[in-house]
Amino acid sequence: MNINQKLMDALESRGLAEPTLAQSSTWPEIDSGSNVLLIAPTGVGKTEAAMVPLFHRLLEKESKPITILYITPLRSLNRDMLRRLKDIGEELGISVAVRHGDTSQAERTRQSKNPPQILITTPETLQIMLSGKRLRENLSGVEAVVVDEVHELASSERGAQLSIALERLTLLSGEFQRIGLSATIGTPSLVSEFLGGDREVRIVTPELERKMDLLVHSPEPVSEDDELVNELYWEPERVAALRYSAQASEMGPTLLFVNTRDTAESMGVRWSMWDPEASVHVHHGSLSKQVRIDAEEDYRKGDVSTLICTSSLELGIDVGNTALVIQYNSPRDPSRMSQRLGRSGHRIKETAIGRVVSTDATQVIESAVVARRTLAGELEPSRIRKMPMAVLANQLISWTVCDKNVDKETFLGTIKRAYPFKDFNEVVLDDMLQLLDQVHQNRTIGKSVRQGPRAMKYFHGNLSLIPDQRTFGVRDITTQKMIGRLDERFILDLAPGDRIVFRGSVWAVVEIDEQVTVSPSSSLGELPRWIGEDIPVPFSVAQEASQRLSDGNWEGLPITDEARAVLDEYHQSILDAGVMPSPICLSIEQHERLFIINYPGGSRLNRTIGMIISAMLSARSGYKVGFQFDPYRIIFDVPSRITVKDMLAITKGFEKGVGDLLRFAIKDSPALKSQLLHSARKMGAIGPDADVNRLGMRKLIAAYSDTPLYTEAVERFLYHQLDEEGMENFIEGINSGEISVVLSAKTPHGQAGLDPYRDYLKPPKSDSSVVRAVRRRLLRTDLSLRCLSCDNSRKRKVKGITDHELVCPRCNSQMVALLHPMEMEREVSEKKLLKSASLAKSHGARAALVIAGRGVGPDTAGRILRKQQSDDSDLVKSIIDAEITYARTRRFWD
Amino acid sequence: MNLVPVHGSAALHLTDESALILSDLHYGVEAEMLRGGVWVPNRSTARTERVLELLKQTKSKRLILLGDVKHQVPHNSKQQRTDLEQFFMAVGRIAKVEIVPGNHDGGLGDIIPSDVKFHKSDGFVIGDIGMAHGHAWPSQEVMNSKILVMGHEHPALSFRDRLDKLHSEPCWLRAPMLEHEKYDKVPEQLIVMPAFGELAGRTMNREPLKGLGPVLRNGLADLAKARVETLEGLDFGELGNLIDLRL
Repeated sequence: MNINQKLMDALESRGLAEPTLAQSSTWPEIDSGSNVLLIAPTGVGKTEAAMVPLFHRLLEKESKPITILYITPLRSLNRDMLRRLKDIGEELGISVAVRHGDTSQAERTRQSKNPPQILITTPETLQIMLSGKRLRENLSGVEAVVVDEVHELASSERGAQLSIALERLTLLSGEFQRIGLSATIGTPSLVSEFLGGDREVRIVTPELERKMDLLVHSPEPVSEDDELVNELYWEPERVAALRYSAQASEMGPTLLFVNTRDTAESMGVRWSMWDPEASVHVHHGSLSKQVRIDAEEDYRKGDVSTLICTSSLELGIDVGNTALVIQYNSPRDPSRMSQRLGRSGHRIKETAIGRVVSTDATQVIESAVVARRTLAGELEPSRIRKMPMAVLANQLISWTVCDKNVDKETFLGTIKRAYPFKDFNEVVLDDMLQLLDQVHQNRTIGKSVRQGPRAMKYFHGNLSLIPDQRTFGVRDITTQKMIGRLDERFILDLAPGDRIVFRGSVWAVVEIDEQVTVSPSSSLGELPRWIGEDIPVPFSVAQEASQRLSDGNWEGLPITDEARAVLDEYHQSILDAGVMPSPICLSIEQHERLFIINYPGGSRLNRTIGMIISAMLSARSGYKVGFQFDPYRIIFDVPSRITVKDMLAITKGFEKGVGDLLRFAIKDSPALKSQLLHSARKMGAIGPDADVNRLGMRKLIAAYSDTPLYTEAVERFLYHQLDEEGMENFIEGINSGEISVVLSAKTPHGQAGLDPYRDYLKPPKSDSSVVRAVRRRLLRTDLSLRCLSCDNSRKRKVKGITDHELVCPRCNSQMVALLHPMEMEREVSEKKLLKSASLAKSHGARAALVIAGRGVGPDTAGRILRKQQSDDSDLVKSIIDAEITYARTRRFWD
Repeated sequence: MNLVPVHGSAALHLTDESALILSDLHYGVEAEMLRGGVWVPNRSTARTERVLELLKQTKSKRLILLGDVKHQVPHNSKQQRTDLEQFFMAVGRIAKVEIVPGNHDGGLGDIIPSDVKFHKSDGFVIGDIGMAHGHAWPSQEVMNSKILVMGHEHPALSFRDRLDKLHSEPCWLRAPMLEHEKYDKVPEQLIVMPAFGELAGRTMNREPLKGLGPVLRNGLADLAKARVETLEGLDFGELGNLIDLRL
């Protein structure tokens, strides 16, 4: 392609004259005017690949602004990309502007009066723009739309909304060129159909020489780590992983990805405790925007060398040159690994280096399979839900608000062109219009549809289809205090009576309404629910991991010898103990009152199996049967009258056609509440600012039970959380004998499913190794004993401090202060001494144990000692909490 | 006097008088919810049909409504008016309608047809049965009866089923009445009617009970000894034994 000279000069002066392969293969396609989907990993200059030919066109041809729309799903727009486009635009005399939720009114007005040639915006802001009179006039000039991160949008409701919005835009501007930018994906054709609707789209997948170096490690704890265990309160394996990460990160700027916010936090704290000089920042979604931006900037400038981050850093945010990406434990999904790895060696043509560091065998095998699939480019197919009704309602309402009066024929002809709605027809339209009429959002008179009395309010309250990131307060019913907040999605499966692990303690759920009421639970031995974020593991990954584990086949897996040894040992230990499960062998193990079904169905299928079996067990036994699942097993907490034979009979006795049973189980599940709220809000039944509490969810569910809102809630849950088709295949497999069902003795494979709960399942007297180690350390600590009346000072190990020692040997005074060695170096105030002495007097030897904690002053010690502690191990746990708090806050004090 | 609960419904059949007694129909509740931003399907037509069916089934010639026929106060929506007009037109054809107004019935007089009989809000008496809505003190005349029937409280019973799911069902309350300084004499028994409207319901077996009418609030009935029965006639025993039943 012949590039305009001015543009050529501008590129040259920025060192961009030599196009990358992605660019040279895309430019002619875009220049020819075709719709184009460019699929390439991060860091190959995708933005320029799309924009250079568009700049060229703007220079060559007179056009009416806004000529080009650049739509990106990110709210925190890629600042670097923006700078580059603006910079080039300025030199060429092409106006580039941004408009999103935070754009000031003044800037918006300026843009309306004087539209830019290129406008960068978000899907939600496009919704608003379709409503303004002058903006619509401006939009009529659009000749090309670039959709960034189109693979992300395609599978979400935001994307379905955008797909209709683009068709609505077509009505204003006529056909325009569509250009999609996508990360590497499993099913290019599906995403291209999403981009183009019923139009032809050229898919460009340049054969890129992007080398990947990905390896799974399982560092073995060294003796030195044992010492660290009681300093950092972490198991040796995790300490070893931390040590490994620290060493590896010496290579250069490092992104350390973890799967949950909690892990990010605790990793950050440990790292700083271990090495106060470490140059580490934490970055995750719960941190404030400013903190995140600062962390990104510090990292980009090189002021901090390692960022510990969650998926918050996966997408296009530009954080500069990363030498290494470390993934802590399994990335769970190849697409995710691919995205994360793409952050490394961001400079074009460099090798992307990634290391997965795993702490145990189950993590190693899954990590290895995910890594292999990432390297081989075997990514999961995208999933695009057909005809999401909440989105349809959203667009019908918004459309009538924007256009005042829309003809039914227009709805029919236009919406059908958007890919998710290609089966849209008159029956669906009429049903939806009838509902929208009932809820006062639209008025249909003959062929003409107008906005209803509630529509304007709806429109401004529902620009976005991102599910409200609602969090629920958690209240302890005994103290009436709020003890934290839970994301809505964790509440999906909760029912009153369930036991959950939250903030390191076990609680029983009392009630779930707009908040979750819990009471402290003392009954151990029941299976509590683990409250944490989990990325779903696809069926294919679970199947391969299981197949390889059962065969002992590590061939072709990118793992170290150390990791291989860990796998060999795990493989053998399962064989020695009982039946080895595999994709064709489902095994059932009984662990006391818990039954474990070992089957590698992945997250969605195993949840489905769990729901069905638990519904059947509940019906049979007359008691609620709870379950937990992970990608490789389903764990049931059953009443004593259910035997392993019953389990076997149920598992073998499935019949196909579980759709009705599944829908029934969903209706009965507390999971439905939040889904129903979402569909009722997005379909216009519940207003944006309505107080749902006043009526109570139970009555609302009953009132909605015959409405389309209900059906949508059920179907949405089914699509996103469950796997109906997979369930049918699974049943077919069992019925045909392809999958055998056998009983097994307890194996490490089944046991591995209980590991996350082990601290809560065992009776309290058997402490975790962490508590034991810390107590040992505390008992060995030297304390100073200083008499307040005669100033006599002695040194004793905590172990040796008895009530007898707490009396001054010289003057027999009972006011003896206990001091931590750290305090001795400083001047200690009279007040502190007095407090410490009175603690020692009233709590005796227990006071000594607490004061031995690092950074535990007399005030904190008093708080800990006054708390009801059922036993010594609780006391040590409180001390651990206090020490961690100290370690976390110390940074600000020093 | 023969007072019979109609099986499966929040309705009493006064057989001697060939009268059907209902309470708390709350026409217009859907319109009020919509004003608060929450749409629920309008069930007023179905509600009216249920009343017609009951009239037919019991062959009643009188329909006695113990208050809160309508819902919206002070605002009155067009929807509520339509719903009420349809109701009165339908039941007026087959029964003579009487109303003891409740706290939601302000302005109801402007909507109802002229042949509907309006009692005073402190109640009225048929034979040895006194009837009132329950939001205000009943008259001494009403309290001189043997039995007092009232609504207003929307009694419901909450319990967990075997699968630990929380249920709430409308229920009858029958309580012995107690002396009070305000009255020379009180009835032997109080019957609190469950609400006829679908969305109403107040859990009686969870303390504290707030916002009760004067009769219950001031201890004129021994609530702990109140008999609790579901609409199907399932006897749950005395309320005192049901308080905070694993809720």
